[in-house]
Amino acid sequence: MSESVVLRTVGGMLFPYILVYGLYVQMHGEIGPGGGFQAGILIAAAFILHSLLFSPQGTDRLLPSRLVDIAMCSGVLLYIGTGVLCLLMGGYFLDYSVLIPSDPAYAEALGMTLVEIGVGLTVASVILTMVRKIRGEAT
Amino acid sequence: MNFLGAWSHHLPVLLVLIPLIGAVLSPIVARGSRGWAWAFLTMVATATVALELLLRIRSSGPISYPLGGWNLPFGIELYVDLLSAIIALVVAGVGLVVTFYARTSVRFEIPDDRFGFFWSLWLLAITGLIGIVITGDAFNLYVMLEISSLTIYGLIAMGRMRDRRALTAAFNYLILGSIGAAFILIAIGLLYSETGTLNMADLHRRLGAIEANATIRSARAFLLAGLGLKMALFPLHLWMPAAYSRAPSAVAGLLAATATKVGIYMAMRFFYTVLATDEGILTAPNVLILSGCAGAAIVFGSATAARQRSLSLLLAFSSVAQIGYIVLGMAIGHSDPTGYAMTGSILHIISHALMKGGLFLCAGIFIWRLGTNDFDQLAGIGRRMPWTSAAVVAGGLGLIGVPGTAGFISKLFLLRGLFESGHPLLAVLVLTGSVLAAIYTWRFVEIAYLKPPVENGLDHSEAPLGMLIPAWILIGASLVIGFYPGPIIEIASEAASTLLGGSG
Repeated sequence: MSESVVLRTVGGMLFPYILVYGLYVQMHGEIGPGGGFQAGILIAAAFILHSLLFSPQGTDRLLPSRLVDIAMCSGVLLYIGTGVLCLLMGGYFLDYSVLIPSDPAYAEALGMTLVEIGVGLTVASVILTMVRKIRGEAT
Repeated sequence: MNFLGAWSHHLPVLLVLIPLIGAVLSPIVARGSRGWAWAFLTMVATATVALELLLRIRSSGPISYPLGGWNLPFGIELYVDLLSAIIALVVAGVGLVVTFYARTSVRFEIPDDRFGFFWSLWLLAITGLIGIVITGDAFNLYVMLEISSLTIYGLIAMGRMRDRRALTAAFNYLILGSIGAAFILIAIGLLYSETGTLNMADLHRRLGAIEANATIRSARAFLLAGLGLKMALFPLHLWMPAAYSRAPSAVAGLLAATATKVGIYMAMRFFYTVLATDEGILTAPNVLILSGCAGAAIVFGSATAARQRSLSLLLAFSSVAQIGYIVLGMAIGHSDPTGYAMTGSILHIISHALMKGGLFLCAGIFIWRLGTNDFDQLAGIGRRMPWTSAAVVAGGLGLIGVPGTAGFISKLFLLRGLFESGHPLLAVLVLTGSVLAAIYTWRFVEIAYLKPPVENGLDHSEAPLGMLIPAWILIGASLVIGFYPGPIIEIASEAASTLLGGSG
């Protein structure tokens, strides 16, 4: 735990805002600068800050490593699942336009958003796992 | 065999998707010992799709699949022709058999808490290898190469429980492999800067239209060096013996059978499809370099193999030599109008994958039983573990190229090709390699059958069927090909003529 009251207080206050900003970057990705990679890093950074200021054990309670493992896999799965859904709806793999036949343009945006959420989940959890491993904790 | 119905035109993407989905699901759905069952199931599905794909391509020609429905050449294309389908089936088929074997071997070589991620890495490695083979996009090829390479580094490092030196082996491979991959990426980047496209067929078209300049020439040089590293072509093979002999035995089997073969596939694809312009990459000096390295690999690899003190290292150095044969056939393939050399090269990819895969599984059985496969511990093993030793001898005969083995068929074609294209000197090298192979195979026979057994208090009974059956499936398959080579020769020569036709 950090010794400084200032750091802990300011960090604690920043933590939710970093998360919200991460979500904003995530959802903004398909129409503007941003996307899954950047959002994933931001969200992971929020938790890394948390573990630096408070105790790593506290962060682990907040976000159990088993959950991180599952998020890591389900992010990729969401990506592939979106692609496979396109297959099932009669298009090519990752051909989003078939998702909503009446509005292909909207379907493209929807498909991209889903895929980017998958990227975000995986990037955030991979970064967290890497930091945990470097810290030398068994996960 | 059309059980996929309306899905059949999705076959190429399914071939990558099935192991990929299996890989990401395995840490979630299959913790602990169920992981193996999950991986095995995934591999059964993958191998079935690979077989179906090969049959479909034989009946109705190459399949192109636009990912995301993007128009070609702008989108990423999966392009599967006969050669890709053959290599994909080799990867998936050998992968299936080795997965079966891994059930027993992994249990004592991998820490329990790594099981979930071991199978994940395992399936991802196979995903990457298959992805390289079926993609029609140069950058996608690089991505798949990284997927397979990074997972393979991890898999090799998991051998640390048996042998701590697996960590340094994995690290060396990581450095050299990354240099190789970086060179390939630089080459792809240079080609992209000249042509503005990444699609392989489109690259070929556009490169044919422009004069070769310094950029293209440097791209060729980077490709040659990068692919040489990935194929473990002498003298760029330095990472290979340690990586193969210290990896967990199932991983060694998988790598020896598939990883370098996929490297050779990449070389064939680049040299004969992408860069097969009028001037081409296979200019006289390049052919000289490639065939010189291949010839040196045959002699050096075999001679070094004969001096090794453990079975794993012997097999690894023998792989250096066997890769030499394959590269030799590929290098002179275009100057051989009959196509024998290229056919021999493709045949040797198949037969070497079966033989060397099976041999590494046998080496793993000795490790499982004795904790080592150093030759001084193997004395007299032929009488105590007759089936395993017989498999090693059968595989060794295949490496020599004795009639009745798959190795004979492929070397026969290679030799015919060498004579037809006027390279009798190289043919002599191939024969020298066979003689040296006979020497190192004899070493094992002498130790296993003629020396008195050592008494070291270890259990020397025969291996469990869970390991013996997969080893014999691979060795047996190579013998079956040796006796009934017809269909395989037909497929390989068809693939060779398609490949050579692309260079016109």
